[in-house]
Amino acid sequence: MDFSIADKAERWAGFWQDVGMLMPEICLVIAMCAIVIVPFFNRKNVWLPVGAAIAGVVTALIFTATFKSSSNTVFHGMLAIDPFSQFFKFILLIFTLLIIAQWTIAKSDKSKPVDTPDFLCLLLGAGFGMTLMASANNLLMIVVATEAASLPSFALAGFRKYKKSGSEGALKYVLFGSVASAFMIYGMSLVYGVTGSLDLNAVANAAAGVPHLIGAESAMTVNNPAGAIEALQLANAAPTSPMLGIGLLLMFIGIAFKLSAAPVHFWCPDVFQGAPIAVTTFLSVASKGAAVILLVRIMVVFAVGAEEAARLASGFAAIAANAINTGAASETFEQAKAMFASYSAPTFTGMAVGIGILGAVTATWGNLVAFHQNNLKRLLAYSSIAHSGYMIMGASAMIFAGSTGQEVAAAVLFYLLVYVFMNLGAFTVVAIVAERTGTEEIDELTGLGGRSPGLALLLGIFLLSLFGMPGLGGFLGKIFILKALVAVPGGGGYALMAVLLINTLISLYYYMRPVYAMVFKQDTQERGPIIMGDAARVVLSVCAIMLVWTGLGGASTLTRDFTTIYRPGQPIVEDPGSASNSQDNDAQEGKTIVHTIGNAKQQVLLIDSNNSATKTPDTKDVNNANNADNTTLKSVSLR
Amino acid sequence: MTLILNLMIFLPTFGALACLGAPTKDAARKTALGICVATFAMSLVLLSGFFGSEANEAGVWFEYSASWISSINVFYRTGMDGLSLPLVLLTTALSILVVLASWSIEKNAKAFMALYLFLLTGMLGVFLSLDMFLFYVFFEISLLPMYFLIGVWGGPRKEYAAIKFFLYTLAGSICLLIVMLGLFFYSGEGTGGNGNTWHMMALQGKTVTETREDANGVDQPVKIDGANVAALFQAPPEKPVTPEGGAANGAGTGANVGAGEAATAGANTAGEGESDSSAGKYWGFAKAAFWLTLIAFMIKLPGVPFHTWLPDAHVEAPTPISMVLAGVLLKMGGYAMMRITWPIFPEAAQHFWAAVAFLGVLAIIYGAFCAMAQTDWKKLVAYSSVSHMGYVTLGIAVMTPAGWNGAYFQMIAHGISSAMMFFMVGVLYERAHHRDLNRLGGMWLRWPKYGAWSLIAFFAGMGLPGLCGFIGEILVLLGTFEAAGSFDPATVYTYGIFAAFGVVLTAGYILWMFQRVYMGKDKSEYDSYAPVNKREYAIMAVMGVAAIVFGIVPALVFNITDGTFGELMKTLGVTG
Repeated sequence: MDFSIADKAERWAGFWQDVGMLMPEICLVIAMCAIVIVPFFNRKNVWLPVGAAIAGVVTALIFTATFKSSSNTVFHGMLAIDPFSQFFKFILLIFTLLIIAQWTIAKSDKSKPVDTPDFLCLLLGAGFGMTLMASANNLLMIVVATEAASLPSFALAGFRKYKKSGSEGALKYVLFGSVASAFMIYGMSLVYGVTGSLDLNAVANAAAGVPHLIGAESAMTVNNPAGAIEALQLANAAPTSPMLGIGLLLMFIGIAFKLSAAPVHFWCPDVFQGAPIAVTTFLSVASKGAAVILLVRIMVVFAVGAEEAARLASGFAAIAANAINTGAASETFEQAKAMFASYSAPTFTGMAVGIGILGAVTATWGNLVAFHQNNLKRLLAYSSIAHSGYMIMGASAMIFAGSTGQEVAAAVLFYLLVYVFMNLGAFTVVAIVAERTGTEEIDELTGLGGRSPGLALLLGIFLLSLFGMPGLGGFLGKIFILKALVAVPGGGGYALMAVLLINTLISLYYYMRPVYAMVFKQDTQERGPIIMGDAARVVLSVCAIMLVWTGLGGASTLTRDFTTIYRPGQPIVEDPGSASNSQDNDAQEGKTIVHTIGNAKQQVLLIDSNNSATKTPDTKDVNNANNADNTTLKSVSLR
Repeated sequence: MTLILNLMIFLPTFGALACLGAPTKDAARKTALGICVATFAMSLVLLSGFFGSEANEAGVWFEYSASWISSINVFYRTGMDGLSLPLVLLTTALSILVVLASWSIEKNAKAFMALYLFLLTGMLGVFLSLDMFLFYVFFEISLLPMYFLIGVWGGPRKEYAAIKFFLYTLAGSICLLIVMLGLFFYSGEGTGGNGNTWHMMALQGKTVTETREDANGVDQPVKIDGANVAALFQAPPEKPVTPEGGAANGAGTGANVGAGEAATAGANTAGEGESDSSAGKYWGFAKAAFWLTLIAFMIKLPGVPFHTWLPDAHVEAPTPISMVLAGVLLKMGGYAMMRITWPIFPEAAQHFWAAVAFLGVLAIIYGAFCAMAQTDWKKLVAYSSVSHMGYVTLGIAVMTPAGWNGAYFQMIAHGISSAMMFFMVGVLYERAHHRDLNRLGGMWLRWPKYGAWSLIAFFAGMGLPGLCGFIGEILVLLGTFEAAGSFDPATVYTYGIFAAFGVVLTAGYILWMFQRVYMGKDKSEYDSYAPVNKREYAIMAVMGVAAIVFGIVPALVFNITDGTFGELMKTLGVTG
């Protein structure tokens, strides 16, 4: 291979383009470095590292916000950059800003100036890992991202080094985390052994038997029925390979750990209890959110693999008939034809069932254990386990969703968005109470409704939203998840819906316990009012307003605009405007077109492989093709 | 008019905020009273609007609809018809009396008034929403203030009663939510490609207009032929059905996502092609859904065996809250049955009529016996509510015009009489601080005027001819016997006879109670009791006069409901 200068320049241009897509992450890394360096100049000044952190996050935020809504992979398929992950990154960065605020306004002690750079550096490091998790599109990248998110989290969990409970939680976290990572890496090595690739799309294709199907197709077209039969047998065996199943299972254990899904959730309550409140809040939302996004991405990739297999299979009958017409009809040919006809594409139902059950068990376990928690942080920890269960249930629908995949993605995004605000709000109230009283017991809330009605009202709103009271965001989030579950075929979707509803009912009891203490219990100890600072007041009010706003239907259309998930086989469309600038459609319409072009191209390829289909078809055709394609996709996903 | 209607729903919420910010307790009370009077005035304006336009008597009046959560086709849709107007009037009128009755509450009076006004929004919203989703939101929202009103201002076991009330009704709500979602998801197969709908009237088989976003994101009105939607949830026609609706469902969901106009058009043809064969497709769901909604609303009503929260809640609740609980909140159950369960699942209702009617008769008899056994006066009145609501269940279950009219009138009458009974109990309890029937007696001699108004209250509850309770009970009984024409006569007569026997039991426990409280000798311990004041007498007088007026001129209600009930009977497939 010789590289001409022009070729090299092109490669470098591609590299810089990829780097440009990763600007948010790069900003975080630069900020981390800056935070480490600034204390050398002035150790006592807290505002230097805080300023550096805020500057880094805000720059990252600006880069995320100006992101062009295309879906693409960068660095040879290592990372997928698409609106879906970008939306999560946006939420995550805003959330990180709020966490920095929460840390900065919290009661200061002697060690704070020393601790602040460490804390911020670790926080941004974990955030960096989480943004990578949201984009990871390669098994190796998943490991790297998960570790990048986990290692700073371990340190954060043990940040109160003088506290026994903090060390206990951190140790538990590290042990669980390293075992889960070991499982995950071992599982990935198995997956690699079976599929021969680390690229997620290639893995999914191999799992669906796509390479073998292509082999069978080409063998049949060159009149090699024996080869075709062999390839088809391999294709049939591919999805049911036990090694692959074990590998995927072990890999999901690693992700389940980040999700704090049962049965690898034991670290969660201890870490949440022992860690400083800012860390607890951060981990409860960000770590789970990133893992949910990763889970959805894996599901989508596998769904695409299944679709690809189905697409290939749909052309088999014609190929087999054609081969018989042209070649010599023989017994082997007839046998091959019969096999081609009876081939049914895999659906990865087992995977979805497994993840659905994981979600159901997690939600139920979290809710049942939350029942008798007297510590508010632990109660909220178990509640967050239950909520990640709900999100996992929603994600399990992804593999069946087919053309309605946007529904599921929108549901998960909406739930995450709401979850950020209700958890941030609830934990912040707990922080305020704990700071004042020194403990986080529910009993400390006794009579709060009379002592500080404002704080009690806010906590009530957050708890009711966590429960799912109509009129608040949590309710709509659950409704959207329920709607997404309808896509699950068979009784599975209904079973999950029933689990979710019953869990909602169970959760009412423990969410009302703090309310009960605040409003109904008589305060015999004459506790004084709990004053919240101005900054806390602002944060809490923003959370409450967001919950009411989302509860009244706000943001439900917003999340729909960010549901495009990178799907392999989809051509790169840099800017929705340029794709549709010949028409007078708005940007949102442009996004539909992005999908459409992908589908239309697939169709064209299917009908006539000689046509290179590089030209963008005009809108009308695209729409028609889209319509036709939707129905074919639907019939595929029903199979 | 639509403006007034929607303002009426939300005015109390604004009033609640005003109450919280009121400078003094007295100011909060006066604000609450003012808001309630304004709400009542608005409902009177709506009433006059109804009499001004009798032309569209049968349809929905003052309908207002605006897209709310477009991604799942949720609309903010309110409107009123003969089924809701009398209950709205009852709610707004009673709310004034309730505020007056709670004048003596000193503990956190501002919060009390605010919560009460918030509750008022919930109640009015339930009666006036025409969208299943909106209905559910109001249905749930009305729980919350009630929980706090019982839990903070209640009696000794208030926490227990409050959480029991909350958990019970919430379990019911979850049942309702399941059905609601099912109806929504399945409805897409009958709308001819226009996506799923929460529209109550469409689910009942009416043709309605909704707006949907077209491919360019512009709202376009679309017509939804509810007949196809409603047919999905009825018994399948005789000939075997070929299940081919799957594609239409998928396409309908696709259109929902906003995949494009072309997709909608494609689904449209598919939907039309299958509209006939899909009739009865979800009959199995409909049968389950009928029971689930029935459980949800029976808990609210309450019907035996879901009634056990009621005695606790009533006994612990402060008097004004008991009044509104018995007077309005229970009616939400009956109203929802008439608005949702029966019109959407008429054939399932026909299928299960005997079981439901049995529950009604059971409630009548069981409630009456329980009432008879009580020594706590308030518990007795609470159980009398269970018994009276049994008539509502029975009247609805038999599906005859007389039965439905009777059940509806029974709700209105019970709203007056039971609220009044609870008030009577409350007046004495405030002074005696106990409600032990065996320790009372001789009240008539002490306060003859109080005794006289009580007589009206309890006899109205008993169903004495000339008072409001009579009309409802007699119509339900008539309707039950009428049902012999359409259902198995032996069962019908058995139920009729038992229900009629319930009237005797009612007389038994009311008269015995009256004897224990009001008859006998005056007692010296009453000397320390403050005499009944003017405010209390005024409340008694208003309700007492209402009890008499509605007993003599039931047409006051029937004039409003006739048109709507005619329509409903057609929906139920009942002729005559």
